[in-house]
Amino acid sequence: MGDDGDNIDEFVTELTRVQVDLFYFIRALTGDMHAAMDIRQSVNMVLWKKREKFQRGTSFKNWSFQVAQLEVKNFLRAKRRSRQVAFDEKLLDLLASEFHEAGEELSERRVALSNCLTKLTAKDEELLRHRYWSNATLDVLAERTQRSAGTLKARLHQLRASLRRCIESQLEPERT
Amino acid sequence: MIPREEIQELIHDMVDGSISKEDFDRLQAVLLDDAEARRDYLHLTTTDQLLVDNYKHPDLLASHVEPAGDSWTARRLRGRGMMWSLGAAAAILLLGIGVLRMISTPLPPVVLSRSADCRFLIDGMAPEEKVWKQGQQLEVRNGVTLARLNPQTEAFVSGPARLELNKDGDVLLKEGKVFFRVAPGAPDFKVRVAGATVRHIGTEFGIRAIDRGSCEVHVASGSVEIDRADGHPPMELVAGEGAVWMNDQLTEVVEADLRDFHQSMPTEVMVFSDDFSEPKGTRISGKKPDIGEPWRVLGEKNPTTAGAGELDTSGGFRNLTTNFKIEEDLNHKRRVVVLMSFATAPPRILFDKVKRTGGTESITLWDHDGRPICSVVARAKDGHRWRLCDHASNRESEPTRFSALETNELTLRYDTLAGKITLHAGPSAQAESVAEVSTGSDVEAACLTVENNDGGDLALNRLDVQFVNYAEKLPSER
Repeated sequence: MGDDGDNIDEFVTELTRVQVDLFYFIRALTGDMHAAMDIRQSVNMVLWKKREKFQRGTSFKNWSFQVAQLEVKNFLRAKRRSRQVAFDEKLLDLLASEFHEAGEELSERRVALSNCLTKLTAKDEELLRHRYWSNATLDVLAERTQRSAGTLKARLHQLRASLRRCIESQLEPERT
Repeated sequence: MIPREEIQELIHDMVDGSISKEDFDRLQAVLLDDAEARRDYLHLTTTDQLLVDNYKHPDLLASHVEPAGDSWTARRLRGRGMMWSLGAAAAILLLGIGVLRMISTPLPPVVLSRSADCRFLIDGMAPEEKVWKQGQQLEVRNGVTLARLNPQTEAFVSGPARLELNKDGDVLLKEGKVFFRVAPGAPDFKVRVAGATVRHIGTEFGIRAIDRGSCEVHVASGSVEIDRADGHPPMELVAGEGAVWMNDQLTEVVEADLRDFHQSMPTEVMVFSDDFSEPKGTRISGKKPDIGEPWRVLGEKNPTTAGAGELDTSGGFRNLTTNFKIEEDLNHKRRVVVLMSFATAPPRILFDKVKRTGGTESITLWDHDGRPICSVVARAKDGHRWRLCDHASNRESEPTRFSALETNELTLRYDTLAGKITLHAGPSAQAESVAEVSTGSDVEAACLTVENNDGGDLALNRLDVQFVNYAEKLPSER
């Protein structure tokens, strides 16, 4: 892809389109949302530098995922050197090759999640809101609601699992 | 071999970022060998990120190039060395401009959630979906409704209140109290109230519209700007300050008082539940409900049995009681709204109901000292139609159209702070209110009785009691 104005516009369009998928992909490989933010910036930079190597007619998403996989490996190597927990490369390759199922149709999944959230009780909704909206720990909610943090944590895990099932059932109603 | 449930817990801990080194090693070994576990991991990670997007950072995620002012990414990046060369930063900025220009995230709907004791209406109707659209009026009759105006802004609406959402996403508060919690970086929105416009500047604040021209604004944190459009320049209130004005009079600055505002959803605890699902013919005496203490018989003409989804009192008078399961201090010095929900069916013996005009059926809530608080009562002389009774004042409502001898689901709502008892024609307080009596009672409910005399009979399919606990203290305890 050359550097004339049209090509840059096209490149930016493709890069823009892939941003959300790219982030979810990196998050799954690293298991760390904050690291995924940093790595995506790094991947964007690499993609920009290598923009002339992208072959028109091929999948920009696949290309960006390949670049991201390499960047994640570099990141995790550094993490292992500093004795932090990090998936090994064999597992990372497996997760990368199997990500497509969980990561496809993100916009539909987002809509499905919105529908699933409307069915929650106020108490469950409050727990999710506390976990995902506020920066406070579960201990704070536990004290306020006179429940134990362990109970809230267990409920949070149940909710996340049931929302996953709800999303899948909405995407493929016939499966359930 | 690690059990499937334990694998799930390890995955959740990983997703939460709370996994230990030892557990991480165990999880990694499982994930390497188990395709199903990898599938679970990938799906739960995606679900978690969808939840993050939904609640927190949809715009930031879509356009993340330069972190927003005080976001968690910004905080994480603080204190690090310069990671990027100036050239790279310029490239990222260029991409960022493109991304920001081309991605437009659709505005999320205003999703509503309600406390169990809440009844709210959208444009005068009980909605099937908990969504509030632009141009619609939200009326909260009881309890608390939480409206998420955008991913960073919550509004806790205390009933009774009436609001309207205009086309710009701004809120018109016509009546009632609302507490707003606005996270930094939230989209701009305004509250129009009593002829004034209140604009947040990243804050927590409460507004009470008293009538058409009178209003109070109280700021808990951050600041708000109030423009009364009265020729005076807008005034800014900071944390700890409040403003009060009556009709066209001048604005008075006062100390903020947010005690009357609900700033979170109340907790909800089921203290009694029985669906009588034991084998048919199970003796009620000593029978354990699903939640609560075992049933006791205070009086019966013949042995009382339940089972197969029913407690039918046919065949003589009964007086049955059971205590609630109340955790220590749960029901103490706090405002508690009690919800008693029950489902009835035609009792086995109906042939004598016309002749026996003295028959009654009742379900009564009692306090810790054995005094009756309130009841639903049906009498033969009213055609066995339910009505409400407040025992402290001996006040009764008119009979409703719902018979104790027919299939119905009803919910009694006993609210000490509001000083009223209501009966709703459905399985929750969101259902239509069909009877109301005022009460001066503020005692705590501890148990219930189900009673019929000769000539009255009741067949219960389900009986639930739930406490809705508000964090605020009762006025007498402040």
